[in-house]
This record gives sequence, C-alpha cells and structure tokens, in this order.
Amino acid sequence: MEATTSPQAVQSGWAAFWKATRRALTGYTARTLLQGLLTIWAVMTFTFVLIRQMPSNPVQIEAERIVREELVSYEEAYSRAASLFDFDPNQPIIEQYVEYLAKLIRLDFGQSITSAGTPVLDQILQYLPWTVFSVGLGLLISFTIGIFVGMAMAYWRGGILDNVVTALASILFGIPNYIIALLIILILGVQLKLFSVAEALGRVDPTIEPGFTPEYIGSVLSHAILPVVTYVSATVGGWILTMKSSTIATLGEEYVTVAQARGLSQWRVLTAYVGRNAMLPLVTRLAISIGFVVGGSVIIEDIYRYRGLGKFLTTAIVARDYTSMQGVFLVIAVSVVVANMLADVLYGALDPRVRVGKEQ
Amino acid sequence: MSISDSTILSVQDVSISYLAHRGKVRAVSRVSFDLHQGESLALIGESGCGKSTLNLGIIRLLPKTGRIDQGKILYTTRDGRVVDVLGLSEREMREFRWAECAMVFQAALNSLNPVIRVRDMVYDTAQAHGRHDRVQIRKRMLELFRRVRLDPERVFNAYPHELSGGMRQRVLLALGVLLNPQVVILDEPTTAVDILTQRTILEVLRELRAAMGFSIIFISHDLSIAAEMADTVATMYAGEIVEIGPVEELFYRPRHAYTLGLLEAVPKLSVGAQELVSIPGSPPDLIEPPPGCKFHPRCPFVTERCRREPPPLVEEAPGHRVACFESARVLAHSQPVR
Ligand SMILES: Nc1ncnc2c1ncn2[C@@H]1O[C@H](COP(=O)(O)OP(=O)(O)OP(=O)(O)O)[C@@H](O)[C@H]1O
Ligand SMILES: [Mg+2]
Repeated sequence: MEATTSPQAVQSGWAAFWKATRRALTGYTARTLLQGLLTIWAVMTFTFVLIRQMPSNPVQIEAERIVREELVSYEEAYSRAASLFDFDPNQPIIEQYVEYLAKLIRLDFGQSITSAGTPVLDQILQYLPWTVFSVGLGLLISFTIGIFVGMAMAYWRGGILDNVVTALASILFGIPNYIIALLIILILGVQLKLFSVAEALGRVDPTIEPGFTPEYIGSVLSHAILPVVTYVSATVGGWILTMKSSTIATLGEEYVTVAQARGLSQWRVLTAYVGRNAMLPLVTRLAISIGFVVGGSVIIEDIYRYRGLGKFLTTAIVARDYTSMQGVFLVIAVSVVVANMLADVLYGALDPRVRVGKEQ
Repeated sequence: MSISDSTILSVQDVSISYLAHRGKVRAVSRVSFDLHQGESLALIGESGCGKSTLNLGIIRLLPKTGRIDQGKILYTTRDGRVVDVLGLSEREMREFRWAECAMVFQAALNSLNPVIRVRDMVYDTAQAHGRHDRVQIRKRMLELFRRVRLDPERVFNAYPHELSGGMRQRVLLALGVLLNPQVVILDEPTTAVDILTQRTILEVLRELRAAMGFSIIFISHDLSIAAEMADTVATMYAGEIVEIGPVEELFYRPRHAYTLGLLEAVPKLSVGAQELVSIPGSPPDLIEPPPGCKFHPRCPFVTERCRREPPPLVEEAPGHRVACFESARVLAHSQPVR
C-alpha cells in the first residue's frame, strides 16, 4: 500500500516547495537579488579588465593570420584587419567599459568582434542548448546513480557492491575528465574500434536535415553519448561516496530506529526517513554543480569537437573576441548566482529547520 | 507453549549478544520474566547493564551487530492466541511493532524525523497498520495530545524542531498509544526533562494507563520514580535479572546485595543528613564476565561459594525471586535501615 509512496508526503513536499518559493520571492528576496546582481556585476567587471590584459588584441590576431596566409606586410594586414572589425583597440578601457555597461543594462550583449554583425547573445543562444543538454544530462545521470548506488552501498555496507564500487569510485574520482575523454577515444575508439572516432565527434551528423525527425534526434543523442559518459565517469564517484557516507550517518539516527519500531514499511523508512535526510547535504552540491553546467565543459567539448558553449568560448579566447568571451562569462556568472538561490529554496523546501521567515 | 492466563508477555531465558571487535558482548544473559495484563514493571540497574538491549530485543530492532542467541518471547494476542515473537515473519513483526508493543525511546529528542511534520509521522504510523481513515486518526491523535497536555492543533501541524524536549517526549508518548497497544515500553522517559515536566509525564502516563489498560515496561535510573510507577521491580546487573519482585517487597525487603546497594545510594529527604553509600568498583566486562556470581567482586557479603558458582534465581517469598546465596544476610542487614 505504501509501495507507491504515500500521496500526502508528495503533496506536502510540493506544498513546502511552493511555500518556500513564494517566500523566496517576497521576504528576503530584495536583499538576495541585490546580492546576486552585485556578484554578477563584480564578476563582469573583473573579467572585463582581465581579458583585456591578455597579450594581443583581436585586430593583432587577425592581422597575424592575414600575414601568415597572404604574405603581405604586417602594416597592411593590420589596417585591413582593423577595417574588418567594428572595434578600436586604442579606445580607453574605461570608455569601452561604460559603453558596454550601458548596453548591458538593456540586455544587449553587443556584437561579436570577429564575426562582425552577429549579436553575441544570438551566438550564445545557439551554442548554449547543446551544452545544457549534454552536461545537464550528464549531471542528472551522475546524481541519480550517485544517490541510488550510494544508498545501496550504505545499506549493505561491507558487502561486495560496497567494496567494488568504493574502490572504483575512488579511482574515477581522482582522474581528470579530459584524461577520461582521451582514454575513451584512444582505447575504446582507436584500439578496440568499438565506435568510429570520426563519426562520433561533433554534436550531430551535419548531413542530416535538422528537425523533429527520428534520424536527427537519434544523431543528436548518439553524439551526446561520449561527452555524457565522460562527464558521468568523472563526477559519479564523488556523488556515490558522499551519498554513502551521508546515508550511513542517517542510518545511525534514532528516528530511523523509531520509524521501524512504529512498524513502517521498509520502503517508507527508506524514502521519507533515510533518503530525504541523507540527501540534504547533497542538495547544495547539486545546485552548485548546476551552476557550473554552463562553464564546466570547455576541455571535453574541445576534445570531442562538440560545439557547445565551451567550444564557443575557446574559439573566442583564441581570437581574443572580447565581447563573445565577456558574454559567456556573464552567462556563467548568472547561472552560478541563480543556482545558489535555487539551492537556498531547495534546501528550505527539504529541511524545515533552515527555512527563512515565519511559518503560518 | 504455556503461559498463565493474564500474562501478556512472557520473556523466557533470553540471551542477547553483540559482536564487537574485542569479542562477543553478552549484553543480556538468560533473562526471564512475565508481564501481566495492566502490570507495570520497572527495570532498574546501572548504565550498561543491558536494559535497552533487552527491550530492543523484544521488538527485534537490535543494531546489526546484535543478535538474540536463545530464548522465547511469548506474546498473548487480544484474541487469546500465544505467539513466539522470535518466530514471527518480517511482515508479522512489522504489524506487531507499535500496534501490539510500542516503545518510547531513550533519546526522545532525536526520535522524530526532523524534516517532516508531526502529523505526517502520525499518518505514517496509522497507515503502516492499515488505518487509512485520516479524519478518524486525526481526531484520535488530537484527543491524545490533549490528554498529554499539549496544544493539539499546534503540535499536530508542527515540525519537531518547533517543539521543546518535554513536548517531544509527550508527543512520542501519545503516538505510542495511538494504536492502542497492549504493551508500552518506556526507556527512561523522564531523564531529559526537568522535574516538573517529569511529574507531568508520569501523571499523564498513569492516566493513560488507567484509561487504556496497557501494560508497561519502564526503565529508569530514578528509584523513586520506579517506586511510584511500578507494580513489580526487576534489578538488572551485568545483563542478568538478579532480583525481581513486587515493589514493596523489593524496596523494603531487598534480598540481593546489589539492590540493597542501589537503595543505599539514594538520598532520602525524609531522613535528613545521612551516610550515602555508593557501590564500590564498576560493572564487569561483559565480554569476559567474572566466574560465579557476576557481582561478587563488588559485594560486601561475598563468600567463597559466590566466587565459584553462579547463583540461580529462586523464589524466596511470594513473587519475589532473587539470585543470591547470601540473601538471608542481605535481608537481615536491610531491615535496620528502614
Ligand atoms: N551496538 C553495540 N555493539 C556492541 N556493544 C553494545 C552495543 N550496544 C550496546 N552495547 C553494550 O551492551 C551493554 C548493554 O547496553 P545497553 O544500551 O542495553 O545498556 P543500558 O542498560 O540501556 O544502559 P543505559 O542505562 O546507559 O541506557 C553495554 O555494555 C554496551 O556497551
Ligand atoms: Mg539504555
């Protein structure tokens, strides 16, 4: 009878969630929002100055390219490059900053420097979904596996599952994600030929017409496999180990024994008493990870030629496309800040002890 | 399986041990007692003598390392059947818990799930025993909260952290009798609260018991509370029941040196300034207990025989059983004290 989870728990969970959401949007919201805006502004200013301290500017980079390809003098190449871009490297940085800020307030991210005429926002919106899809999916899978496997290990601790997975998770936890990506390509692709490396790279087969067709969706999914697998392998160990230790701590709590003494079914004890409490410490971590979804994929996207926001950022960095870089950093800052607010709301919904404001 | 008519719970020859790094901890050794309908049994004894272990054993919720090595726990259901609790299946055991035998735990402060409301714990408990009529359950719970002198509506909708320690204790008590169990086990229900709340809890407990007629197993360090609440008192030492008998008998005519020691260690207001005698030494190692009577290294009445043979539990007065070779001398010694 309880095997399908009791409706009141679900309901009260949602009720608490909405209540917390509403509270988040009223009471302490003003302060939180202001704090968030300040953080975003600070990050924005910092990166604005920082990226302009990198050696060379977009015009110089383009000029060098022209020199290399067309064997003209540097001066000629420079003036051609300068006329190509709507960007004056000699404009004082403070002027650039004020101009940028003025546009930004109207949510205008400016034009890309290197592809003149394309709004940065358009480009970001074109790349962002791919990253959100692949890294987000990876995070979701990783988190879910972590919760279930971690809990199972805690329940049967000392068993085979526990020992094997603990060893495996500790190893995976220690390997950086780009090493995993390279190993996958070299061992599974090149050596064992489990997949064709040429076909697997990229984010979709370019010969297939985009649209809601099975071919296109299939191609999108199959191209996401490698990045997702890499992302999961690199992060799942951390989730598993955290969930395991958290569950072990919760299992030792008196209220779990009392719940059993009250004759509750194993399932109900597992979900509402052990699971929910054991998950609390992971929620903050999850929110932080969500914040880094946007920026957390730069090297993997590069290795797999998966053209998401990370790839867009590397391209922009190489070309010193200031406005594009600035745009990406801004998106990352915003998502981290928003994720942190989300963490507060989520945590409040799950743990009544930390709820802000008054009840009833 | 034979037990007398009015016996609700008959613990027969039960031993419980824990597997520890150092070896097997014999936390409960060959304990036997009967609990009758409406009876209140107090378990007294030093910290670590196995009181909680015995009671966790009765509802079979020992920690993973603990196991019941031998014995029988016979329980008489409301329709008169006698079942061995140790032979129940996992499902039957689940139904037995709380509906037949509820337990209010020692750490009441930590007994409620911090992330869900009291009402959800109430509904959880009822639903686990097939009672789905929420209106009915709510009504009954509010009534019980009123009886234990809690503000019913507020407590029903509260989260545990919004309640004080004494309130949580009473919530647990009320929740304990929600399903009308025949046996209620209370593991030190009053240690964490102040003396006034303690009084309230005891009064409330008495009222509930009078109204509902359940039997009680009551663990307490406080002998005056035991004297006040119990019909029968059992003294435990190092995992054994060394003396058990009617409250008057045991407190006024103790026959075991350990019980006598416990009584002499209690200050009495009425007597004024007097010599308090604490029991010398400390409880024995439960992994390698001393031979013979386990109390002999600390016993002022010790003889050669006590060091060799473990004394059996024998009935020396009606309903008064004691495991002591020197019970006559103890009894004689205890008389002038009173
Ligand atoms: N999980 C465990 N593993 C090993 N030994 C244990 C475990 N739990 C209890 N013990 C041991 O069993 C003995 C009895 O413990 P128990 O908790 O039953 O004592 P108690 O009489 O309830 O004490 P108190 O009055 O302090 O609550 C103690 O010696 C204790 O060290
Ligand atoms: Mg105890």
